[in-house]
Amino acid sequence: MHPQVKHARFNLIVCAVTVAVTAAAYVVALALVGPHRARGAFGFLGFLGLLGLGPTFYREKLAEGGVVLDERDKQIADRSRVIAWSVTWLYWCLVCMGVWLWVALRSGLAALEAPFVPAEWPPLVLMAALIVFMMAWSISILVHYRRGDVAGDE
Amino acid sequence: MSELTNRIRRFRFDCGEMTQQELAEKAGVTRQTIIALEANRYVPSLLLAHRISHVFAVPIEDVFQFDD
Repeated sequence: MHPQVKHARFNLIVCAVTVAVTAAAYVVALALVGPHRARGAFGFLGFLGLLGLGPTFYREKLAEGGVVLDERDKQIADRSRVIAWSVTWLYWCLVCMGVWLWVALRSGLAALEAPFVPAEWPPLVLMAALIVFMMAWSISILVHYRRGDVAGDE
Repeated sequence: MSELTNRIRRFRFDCGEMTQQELAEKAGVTRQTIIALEANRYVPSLLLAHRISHVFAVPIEDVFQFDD
């Protein structure tokens, strides 16, 4: 399996597990200790730090001395990055609009003159943006390789 | 619609049944890229096309054809 495919799968697994564990922990903590303390469950987002292990997937090929990433691999990575950036931008626009909608619905239109949001929102929104980007990038890479990876003879 | 096709598979077998891995190593790419090229799923750069034709020791237009 190509190291870039392994890297993409690893990213997807880390993001999916992080979201699942964080959501599950929040739901459980919400029932046990209430909404304020349940926010501590967001600490599980720290699992995203595992994404930093991605480069280790290329070490084996590097040690062999062969080609690790050729022009096609780089093209796939570049295209996927553009797609992921577009998806993240769409997410960002929706979040920004959603915040204004939330303020208006919660406190009335008058609150739009001096809007406020909970303090934990900005870091959560940024973490979610990272997850959206990494998942879109990884899925795009897997799709590109799946399209081109037909069985070849030796 | 124009399309770039190639005869890499034919040339591989003409060159002593060269494997995809051998060609990949000589051309400086991965085997997956050779597979994608043979299936016409990837259009190579001019540099890669030149390197592949150089491996087979034939002119570039013998390996790659531009079909209108």
